[in-house]
Amino acid sequence: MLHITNLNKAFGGLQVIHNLDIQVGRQEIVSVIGPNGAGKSTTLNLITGIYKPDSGDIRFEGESILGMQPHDITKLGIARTFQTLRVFLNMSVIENVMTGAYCHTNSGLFSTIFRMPGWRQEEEKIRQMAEEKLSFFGSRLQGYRYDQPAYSLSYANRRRLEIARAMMTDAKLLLLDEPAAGMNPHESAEITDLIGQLRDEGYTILLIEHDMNVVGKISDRVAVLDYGQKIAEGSYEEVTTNERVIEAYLGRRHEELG
Amino acid sequence: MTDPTNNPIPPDDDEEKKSKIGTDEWVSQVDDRVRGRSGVLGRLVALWEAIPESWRYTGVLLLVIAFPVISGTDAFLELFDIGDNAFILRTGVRFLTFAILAIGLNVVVGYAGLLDLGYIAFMGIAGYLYAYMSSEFVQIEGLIPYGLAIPSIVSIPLIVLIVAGIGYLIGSVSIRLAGDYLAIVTLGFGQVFIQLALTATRVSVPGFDRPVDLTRGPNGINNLDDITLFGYTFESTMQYYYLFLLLLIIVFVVVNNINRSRIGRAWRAVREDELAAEVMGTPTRRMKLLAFAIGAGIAALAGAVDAAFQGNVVPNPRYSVLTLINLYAMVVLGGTGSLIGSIVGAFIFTILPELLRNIAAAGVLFYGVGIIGLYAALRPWRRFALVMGGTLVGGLLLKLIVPAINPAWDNGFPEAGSVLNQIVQGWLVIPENFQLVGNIVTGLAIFFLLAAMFLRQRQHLFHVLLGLAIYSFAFSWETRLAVEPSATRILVVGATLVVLMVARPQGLLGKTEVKII
Amino acid sequence: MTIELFFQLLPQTLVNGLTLGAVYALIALGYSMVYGILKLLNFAHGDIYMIGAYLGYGVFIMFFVDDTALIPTGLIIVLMLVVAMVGAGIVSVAVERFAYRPLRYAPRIAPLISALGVSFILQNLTQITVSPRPLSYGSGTLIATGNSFAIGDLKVHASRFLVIGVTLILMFALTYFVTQTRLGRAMRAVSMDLDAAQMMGVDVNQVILVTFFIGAALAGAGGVLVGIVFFSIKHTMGFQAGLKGFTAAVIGGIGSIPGAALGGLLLGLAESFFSVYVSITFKDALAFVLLLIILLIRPSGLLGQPIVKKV
Repeated sequence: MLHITNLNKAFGGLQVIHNLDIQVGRQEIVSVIGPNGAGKSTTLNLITGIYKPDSGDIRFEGESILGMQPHDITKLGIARTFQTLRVFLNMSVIENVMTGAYCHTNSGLFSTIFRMPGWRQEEEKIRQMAEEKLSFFGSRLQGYRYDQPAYSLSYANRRRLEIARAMMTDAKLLLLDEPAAGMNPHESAEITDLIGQLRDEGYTILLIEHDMNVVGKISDRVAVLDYGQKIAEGSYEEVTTNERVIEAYLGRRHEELG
Repeated sequence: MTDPTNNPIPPDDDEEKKSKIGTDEWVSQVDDRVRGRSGVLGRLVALWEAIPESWRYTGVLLLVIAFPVISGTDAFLELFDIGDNAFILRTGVRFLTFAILAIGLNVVVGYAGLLDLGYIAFMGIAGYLYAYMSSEFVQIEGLIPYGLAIPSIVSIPLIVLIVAGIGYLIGSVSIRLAGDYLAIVTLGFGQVFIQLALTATRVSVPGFDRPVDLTRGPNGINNLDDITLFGYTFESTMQYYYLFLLLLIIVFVVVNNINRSRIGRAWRAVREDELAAEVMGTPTRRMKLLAFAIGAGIAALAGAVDAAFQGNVVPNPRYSVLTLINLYAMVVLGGTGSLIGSIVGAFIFTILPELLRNIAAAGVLFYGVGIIGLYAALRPWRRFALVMGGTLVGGLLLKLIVPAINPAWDNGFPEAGSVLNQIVQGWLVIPENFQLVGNIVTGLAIFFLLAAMFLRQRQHLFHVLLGLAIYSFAFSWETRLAVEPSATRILVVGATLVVLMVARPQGLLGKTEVKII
Repeated sequence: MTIELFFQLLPQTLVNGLTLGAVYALIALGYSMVYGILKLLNFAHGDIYMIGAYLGYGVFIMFFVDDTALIPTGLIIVLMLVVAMVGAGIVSVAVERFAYRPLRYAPRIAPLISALGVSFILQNLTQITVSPRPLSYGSGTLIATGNSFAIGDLKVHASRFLVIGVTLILMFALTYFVTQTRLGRAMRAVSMDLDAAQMMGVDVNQVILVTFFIGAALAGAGGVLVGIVFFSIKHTMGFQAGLKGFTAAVIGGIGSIPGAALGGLLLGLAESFFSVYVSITFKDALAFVLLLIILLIRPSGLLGQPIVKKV
C-alpha cells in the first residue's frame, strides 16, 4: 500500500533520513521505533508532504505522491495525528471532526449561499458521519460533548479526538505519531486495543511509538530507526533481540568501546 | 436511628439535582455559569437571551425598518435637539454602510485570520469604478461622448466581480508572506491606491496625445448617477436607507450561510492551526484566497452603492487609513468572528461620535461613563461613596475658601451648554484665564490618574489621588474638552478603544480564545 | 534629464537622503525593538515621535524670549534633545503599562486596536492642549541660516550634520547597551523567548519597560531633529512618519537593530533620489513598492532571521 524507497532528507548539513525503505501492506500495523532524534517524526512529515524529500520516492497505492500538496495527499487517503496535539482548540468537538470531511465533500459556494437541497443533504451526512466516528470511542465524546470547545477536553480525549478527525478524512492509511504519549498505563492499554480495532475496521496503520507495551502487543512488523537509517526490521521479538537495536538504545558495552 | 433528621440519605429528587455537581458535564459548563453571573450586564444579557431567537431578530428588524418614521417625529427630534430628520437618516445610512463593510472585514480578519490592512482600497476601487461607469467622467471623443452610463443592475454586480478578482490577485501575491508581513504589504497596497487616487491627474496613456486625468485628484469625481433598479431610481436619503438595509440583510445571510458550512469550518480551522488544517485535507491557500475575494467583493458592494449615495468619490478621508482604523475598531470591538458583533461595533462607532457632536449629550456621556467606571473600579460601594462624597465636599470647600482669598481666582465663565454644565461649573473654582489653567489641569488629571493606578496598594493615598483626578478631569472637561468638540470626539473614541480592549480583549460579543503557551 | 543636471543634483540629493534616512532609522529602531520583544506592532510609536517634537518645542520657547536666546543655542539644542528623549520615554512607558501590559496574552489584534486608541488620544490631546496649527522651531533661530560647511561646491547646512551626528552617537550607544550590558543581554534573551527568559529569572516587565523607554527616547530625539531641520511640527506628523519608520523596520528585518538602521537609511535615500529624479507625487507610494519587492525576495527583510516552520 505504502512504498517508501531510498528516501533521503537533510536539514542543513545534518542527514536526518538516510536511504530509508519502508513498506506497509494493506491492513497491516507497522511500527516505527527508535531513540529520540532518529528521524521518526520527520518520516511522517515527509509522507504527508509537509517536508519535501531530497531524493527517493514515496508511492501510495502505486502512485507517487512526491511533490504533492499536503491536502491532496490527504485526499488520496493518508491521514495523520500529531505528537504535539494539534486539535482546533477553539472549535467544538463535533466541528473538529467535521473539518476532516472537507476533502471528500464538494458543496460549492453557490449551493452553500442559497442552502440548496444538495448542500443540506451533504451537511447532514457529514454530521452523521462525525457522530459515528466519535462513537468509536464510547460515550466519552458523545452527547453534550459534541458542542463543548475542544480546549475543555482532557489530554487523552484530545488524542482520541485527533484520531477521530483523521478517520473522518476517509483515509485508508492512518499515520499515528505517538498516540500513547502522556497517557497512563490504563489509557495506553485502551489505545492499544483501539488501534487493533481500527485495523479490523479496515484501516492500515503506520505507528510511531515509544511505549514498547503498545508496540509489542499490536505490531505486525517493527522497523527500527537510528540516525535516520533503518537498522532492523521484523517481528517485535526479532527486533528486540537484535544486537544493533540494543546497542542503539543502550549504547555499546564498555569493553567493546575500549 | 428512627429520627428522620439523622437520616443521611436525602430525598431522591434532591439527590438528582445535587449529583450533577462535580460530574464532567457540570464542570464543562463552568464558562456559561461564570458568564451568566457577571453583574448588571450579565443580567441584561440573560434577559435578552430569554427572548426566543426568532423574536429577537424580528423585533430588531422591525425597529430598524420603522426607524426613519420614528426619527421623523417631532418628539424624537426634540429629544436629541436636532433640526431635521435628514441628518439622522444620513447617520443611519452611514451606520448601514459601515455595518456591511465591517462584515466583509470580519470575513477576512475574523474568520480566516488574515490581517488585511488594505481592505479600504477595495471600497475605493469600487467607488471609482462606479464613477467611471455611471457619470460623464469617461469621455472619448467620437466613441463615448456623454459618459458610459451603464445601468446599475449591470454595473454593481460587475464591480463586485472585478474587485473580488483584484482581491484574489492581491491575495495570491501577499498570502505567501506569513502573519504580520501580510498586514504590512496590504497596508502598502492601500497606501499606493490612495496616493494614486490623489495624484494620478496627469498620466500619459498610450493612444492619447495629452496626459489623461484618471481621478481628478483630491477633489474627486462628482455628479454620479443614482442607482436605478428595474426602473426605480433611488434618490432620497430614506430610499437609500432602505436600499442599504436590504443589502445588509443579504450580505448578512450570505456570510452567515457560508460560515455555517464546510467553508466556514475550514476558515476556522485555518485560523486555529494552519498546518493541521492543511494536513487534514483543507486546501488552506485556496480557503484564504476565497476569504480575501469575498471580503473584497463585500467591500466593493458597499463602496459602489455608497458612491452612488454620496453622488461623488472623494478619496480623502473616505478611502484613507483613518476609515480603515475605524472599521477595525468596529470589528474588534464587536468581537472578531462574530457577525452580530460587527454590526454592533459599526453601530457604536457611527452613533457615538454623532452623539458627541452635541456638547450636552457629550457631557452626559462623559460624566456617565466616568461614574460607572469609578463604581466598577471601587467596590464595595462604600468606597465609591467615600471618594465621590469626599470630592464633592472638597470641591465645595474650595469654592468657599478660594474666592474669599482672592475673588479674581474664581471669575471665569466658560460656555455652559446644558444644566449639567452649569451645575458642575458652579461647583468648580474657575479662574479668569481658564484656558491656560485648563491645559495644565488636563495634564495634572492624567498625572493623578496614573499616580493613583500605580499606588493602588496604598488605599488612602489612592482615594485622595482619585478624588484629585476626578476634580481635575471635571475642570478639564468644562474648560477645555467640551469647548473643542471635534478633537474631543476622537479623544473619547480613542479612550473607549483602550478601555474596552483592556477590559474585554475579545470584544463585546467575541468568545475568549484559548491558546496553549 | 541631462547628465550634467544629474551630477549637479547628486550631492544635495545624497545629503537629503541621509538626513531623512537618519530620522527614519531612529523611528524604525523603536518599532523594531518592541516588535522583537512583544511581537506587537506599536502603532502609537509615530505619535511618541510627535510628542518628542512638541517637548522639544516646549524647551525651545522657554529659552527663546522675543527671539533672543537666554543661554547659548548649542546648550538649548542639547536640552531639547534630553527633555524630548526622557519625556517621550516616560509617556511610552506609561502607555505600555496601561494599554499594552494588560493585553500581553490577549489575541494578537487586541493590543493593535489598543495602540490605535492610544494614537488617537496622544494626537488629540496635543491638538487640544497645545495647538491645532503647525508650530515652528523658527528657521535660522537655532542654527543660523548661513552656518554651513562647504564640501567642494556643495554647501551643507550645519543642521544636517547635527542630525546625522546625533543619530550616529545614539546608534553606537544603543549597540553598546544591547551587546555589552547585563540588561541588554536580558533584552536579547527576552526577544528570543519571552516565557523561557522569564523562567530563567529575567525580570521581563523591567526589560519591556526599558525597551519601550529606549525606543521612545530614540523616536523623541528624531522628532526634535526633524523640527530643527524642517522647522515645522504638527500634531498629525506622527502618522506618516510612523508608517515610514515601520516600513524601514520591515525592510531591514523587523526585530533586528542593525536592520532597522539599514532599512531607515535605504528608505531615506530611495525617497530622496526618487523624488528628485523620477516623480515627487509618487514618493510615498515608493516606500511600499520597495517594501513589497524586498519582502517577496527576502521574506524576513534584509537582515532578519528566516522563520523556521515548526511541526
